[in-house]
Amino acid sequence: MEWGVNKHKCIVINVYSKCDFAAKKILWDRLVLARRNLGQGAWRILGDFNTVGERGERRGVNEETTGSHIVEMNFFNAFKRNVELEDKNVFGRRFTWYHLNGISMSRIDHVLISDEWSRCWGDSALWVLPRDVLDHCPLVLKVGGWDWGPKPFRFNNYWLDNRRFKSTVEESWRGHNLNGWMGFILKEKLKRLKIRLKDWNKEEYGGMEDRVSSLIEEIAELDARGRRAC
Amino acid sequence: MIVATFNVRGLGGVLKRNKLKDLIRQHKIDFLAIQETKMENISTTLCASIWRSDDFDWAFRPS
Repeated sequence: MEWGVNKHKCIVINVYSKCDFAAKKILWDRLVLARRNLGQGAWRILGDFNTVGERGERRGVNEETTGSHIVEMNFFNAFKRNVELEDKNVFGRRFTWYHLNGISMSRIDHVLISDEWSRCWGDSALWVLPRDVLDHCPLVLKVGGWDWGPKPFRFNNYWLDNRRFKSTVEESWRGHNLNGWMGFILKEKLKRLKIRLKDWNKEEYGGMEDRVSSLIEEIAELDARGRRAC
Repeated sequence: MIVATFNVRGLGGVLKRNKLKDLIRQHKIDFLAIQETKMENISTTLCASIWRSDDFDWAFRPS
């Protein structure tokens, strides 16, 4: 398919693999062949491969790795090398499939992408999402921008040395008349104090980043002068 | 492009269709690969209801 305004050539293969090893080998050979024949483009082979790449990707089933499982893992890893695609590491949780018995779990879903895919869309991270009632988890490949959730509140100890700090806290704490039970009032006051302190920090110490970058420029300038002097 | 893959183990029920809708909306998914729909046929209407838009394309292989 062609994607976006730039009409990137994308080759996408959605995989649902059988469990039987012989069938898997046929599938992997075909995928390698397809990759060689169709050639350039942003490649993506993704889905349920019913296979793990290493021992740590499985728990509760076939844990005592018998010869046949090692052979299968070796074949799968050889396939990944031959197909010249990157098997994206997972974030969020280690396993993508959970047996009803609650004991067996494994990482049998994979997303393989080509270098060209990364060049088109940048670095990406593969997230395994909660599965709730299903046995498989959805996997989402997100590009760039790490989502760490809301920024935590940080208290800077140097605030304590600021003469205006104490009065700012007192003002905020007394400033709000709230009704409700004590726990609620305490929570609300802390919340408002947090917002006030964030603003106050900006008022008192704002422009810190500008100062840092101008200092970095100065250092670079001094370095350059040093080099010329040598 | 945000890409997702999901082995749904059957797409006949409303529950799983709704789960797909939420997944697409929450994570702003551009491309979704689904396995094991256990469906003989898939219609454009069904895909449109899951994607909640008419600007999309789809391909399907019966199970």
